[in-house]
Amino acid sequence: MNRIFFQFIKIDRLTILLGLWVSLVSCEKEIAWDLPEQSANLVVHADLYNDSIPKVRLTYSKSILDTSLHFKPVTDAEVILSNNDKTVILKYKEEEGIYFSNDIILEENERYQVRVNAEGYDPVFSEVVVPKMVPIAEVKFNEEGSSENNDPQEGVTIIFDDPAEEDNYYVILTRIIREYDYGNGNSGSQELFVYMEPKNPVYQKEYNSGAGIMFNDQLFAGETAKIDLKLSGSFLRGYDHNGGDAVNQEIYFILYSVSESYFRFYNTFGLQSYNNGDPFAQPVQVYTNVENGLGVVTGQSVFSYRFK
Amino acid sequence: MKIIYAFLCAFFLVHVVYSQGFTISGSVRESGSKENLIGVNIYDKLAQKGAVTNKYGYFSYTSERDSVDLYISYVGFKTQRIQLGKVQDTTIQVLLVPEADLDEVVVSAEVDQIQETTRMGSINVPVRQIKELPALMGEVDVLKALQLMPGVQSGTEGASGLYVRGGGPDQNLILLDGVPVYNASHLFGFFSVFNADALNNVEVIKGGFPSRYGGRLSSVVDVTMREGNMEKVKGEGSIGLISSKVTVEGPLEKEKSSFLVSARRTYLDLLARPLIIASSNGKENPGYYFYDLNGKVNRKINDKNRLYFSVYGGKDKAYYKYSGSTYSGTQESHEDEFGLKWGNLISALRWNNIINKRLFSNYTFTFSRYNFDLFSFYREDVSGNNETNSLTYSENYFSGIRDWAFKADYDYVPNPDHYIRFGGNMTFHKFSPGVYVTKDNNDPATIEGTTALNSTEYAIYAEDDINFSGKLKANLGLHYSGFITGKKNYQSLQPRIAARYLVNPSTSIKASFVTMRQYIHLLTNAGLGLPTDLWVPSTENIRPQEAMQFGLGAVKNINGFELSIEAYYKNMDGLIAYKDGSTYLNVDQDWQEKVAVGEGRSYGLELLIQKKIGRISGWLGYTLSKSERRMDEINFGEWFPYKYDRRHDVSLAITHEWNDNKDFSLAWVYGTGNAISLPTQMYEAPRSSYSRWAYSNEVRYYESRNNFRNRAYHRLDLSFSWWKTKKWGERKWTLAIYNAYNRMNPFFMDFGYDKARVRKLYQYSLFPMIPSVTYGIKF
Repeated sequence: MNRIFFQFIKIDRLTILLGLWVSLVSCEKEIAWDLPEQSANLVVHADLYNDSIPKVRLTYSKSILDTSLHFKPVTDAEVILSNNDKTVILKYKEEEGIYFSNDIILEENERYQVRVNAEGYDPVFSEVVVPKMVPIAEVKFNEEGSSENNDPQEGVTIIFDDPAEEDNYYVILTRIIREYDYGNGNSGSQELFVYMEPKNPVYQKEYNSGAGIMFNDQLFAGETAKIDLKLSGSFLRGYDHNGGDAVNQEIYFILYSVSESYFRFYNTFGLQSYNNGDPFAQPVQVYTNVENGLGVVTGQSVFSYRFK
Repeated sequence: MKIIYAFLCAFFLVHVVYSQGFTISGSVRESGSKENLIGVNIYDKLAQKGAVTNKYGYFSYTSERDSVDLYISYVGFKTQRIQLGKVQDTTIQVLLVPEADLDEVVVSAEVDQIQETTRMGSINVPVRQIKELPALMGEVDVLKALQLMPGVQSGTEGASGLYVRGGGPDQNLILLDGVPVYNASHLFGFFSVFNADALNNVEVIKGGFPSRYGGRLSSVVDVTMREGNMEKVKGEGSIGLISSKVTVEGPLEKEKSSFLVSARRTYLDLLARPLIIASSNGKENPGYYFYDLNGKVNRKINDKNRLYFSVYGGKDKAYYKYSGSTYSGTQESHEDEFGLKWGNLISALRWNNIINKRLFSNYTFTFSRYNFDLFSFYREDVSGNNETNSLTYSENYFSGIRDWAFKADYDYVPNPDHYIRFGGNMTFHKFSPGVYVTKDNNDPATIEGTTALNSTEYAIYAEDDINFSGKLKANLGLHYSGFITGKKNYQSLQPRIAARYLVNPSTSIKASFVTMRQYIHLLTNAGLGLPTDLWVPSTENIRPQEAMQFGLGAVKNINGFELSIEAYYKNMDGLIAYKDGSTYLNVDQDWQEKVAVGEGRSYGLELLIQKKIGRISGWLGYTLSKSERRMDEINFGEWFPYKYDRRHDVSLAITHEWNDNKDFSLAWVYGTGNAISLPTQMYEAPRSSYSRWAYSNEVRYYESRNNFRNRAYHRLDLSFSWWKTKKWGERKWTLAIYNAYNRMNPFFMDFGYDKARVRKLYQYSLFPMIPSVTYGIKF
């Protein structure tokens, strides 16, 4: 209730009050202001997954006053990926707008450096460790229930062992793959992510869309983690009201071990995005681990657990 | 505790050593109204020593000779000479007569010359001078006058909040007759709660705090109310563009007791209401008003005892009402009202007691309350079939603080070389930070948000103004304070030192070192200056604020001009601020989870040239300063500029009384623009997974917290008054122009689109040039 009230208060009533206040003094004036000239920054985004090839996206930032819909990609930079053993130069793939290389397969628990040389810019640098993959030991089905809106919910506990002596960061997703038989030889498949909510409010972020949860190991450092989740729907019991026609359904719980850069970037970016337009919210600076540039280079190791 | 005990023992030892001679004590008052005169100089020409009246007009002077030749002087009053020979201890009541010569009356002020006193960073602004400065829409404002002093800055345009030497608005101990005022603002900060007609004295201390003050880091603004005329009924009032006020004072029993009542109200709501109602067919009714009321009664029980009772009450309310009705088979009518109201209630009962010729005491009981309420009310009546069904629904978000306090203060003057003050106080606070209540006519009220927090604050202090020699004088003191909150008892011992060395009779060098501690915090929003800021106590998780300040300066008094230069360095710790992304209206989250705790530092140089007497008086002030903050959870732990970091700040205030019945004044201010957070660029979010965590694929890039500077603030205000004496009293007209050259000063910045749909950054301003006229009377 109060969230609705305050959304209402925030958007409408306080705005009206502020408007009243301004109109009382009835002297509001506005002057267009020129922002100081700023050259565009190089923006580096790279998600480095274990057992995958490297992919780096390189774009220019744009002025806050620029209303164009797209960000201009950097197509002619030299992008170098290296670790202790190997250095590779990534090639630009126009159709995807990324730099990549098939000459290296990224490994878990390995530190990688990304260096970008672009004309007119100081070298841009970032590094990240692709975290060690952490397997899910067990997924327990706990209970059935319903949400405040009487929608069905199911409870699960995801159990895994947190590696000791290091700070670890995780993302959990629940993925469902369905296959359909429409008759007459027609079939199809569908992939969807289940809305989930952690029972422990510490893991709940107000800006979280529900498609996953992101947390660190502060509450279970070096021990066995038991993360209790509430999933929307009735997927674990083999049916739900939207998937009745599926002939086959597979449910996966995916545990991403992510780098600190991933955790910090998406925590700050999520919050900035969530508060956009709220005049009473404090500004949010988004984390970057890119020197002489912007963006984020993250490391991720993925473990997928099939629920039976 | 041992240190305090040793300190107190040393104080009383002073009395044993210097208990010879005879003592003259008493009070100094104005001959007509019998008002206390604060800061009157009592100077013994034979011993070349003297005393100064305290804030109750009391003094005590002990001479080691067998006679005295006293000159009792106060700027604006005729000096009195009292010669006493071979006398015993005696008490005198001195009545000073206002000087007829206008050259000397233009500005009344403290007489203890600036180079003589040990005080640093202290400014006494006479109320008369405040009333002569140009006013916004005809309304004189005490805090705005203080903002014209170096080291004291305003916040955003029009706001009356004080930012002293890089401190926040919560770090000012604003006292009205000794009682803290939590929100000193009316009209969202454009005016202060102080009605100048009811005031006797205003003093602001920015550094070198004496030990008797505590509980705030950055400044003390000590406002003393007048007591009321003991001789005859007097009054004054004025009618302005947006408000009117009236003050009446007089004796309840001649020479025994007096009263003073002062009231003020704005009436913009009353003037605009008929127009708004007419234009909305009676459906809409928005408005705003504030009022305040000051009252004071004092009773002289005998020569040694006096009682005072003072009270202040004030309220602001901004509201919007809407009513309407429809008919569709049944008659449905509804009323909707929402708004914001806030106010202070302050009361103090004080007992002055002269225990003996050298010891003066003052006991005070106080109660104060501050609260704001963001309210919403809805009522719906459905009539049909001979019955009416009603639905009412209300929502309130309120916050408040209540204080009950007792304090005892003693002034002990063993001899002219020592002026000892000691005492203690205890305050019970009750905080209600951010409570949300819903209620309808079918269900009981539901209450959410933070529960009330009770805490106890206590302090004892002792200080001595010591005259080591004719040249070296120092104020040494200790302030010991504590705060009990939950299971935690915070305690702090704060040494205070201020000294002056007299280089020659007109020049002195001063230095000070103080430590301060503050147990309450103000959680401020993005800087809009709304009264919805939350007062919160230190808790087991949120530690108190602390500060340490060094000052070094020099002053020179030359041909009626006072020149002072002062450098300071201030370190602060335990400061709180909302974390990135926090929004203060979210009651789902406890306030303690929304704040970051960190440190601050501020340093600067202040120059002041002041002329207090003569037909032309005023001052020129300049401040060069830097103020920064650092918090682990803000700006990635790096130092960032404080929002009100202001590199250059200049103020010029001049009043010219060129005729017996005309005066002219101007005030000009200039300040470097405030630091605000503004995104300057955007960049693309990672394509792969942004949608899992964010609603947009655009990241706004802030180089740092408070990365952007607003345009510089400057403004010129002018005022011209002329008055005429009538049979019944005096009438006065005042013409004033606020922002005479129509400078569009920044209020806030926001992005928007022009007519061609091009995105631009807009600066919003509030006040263009505003002329005003005020009619006032005195009888």
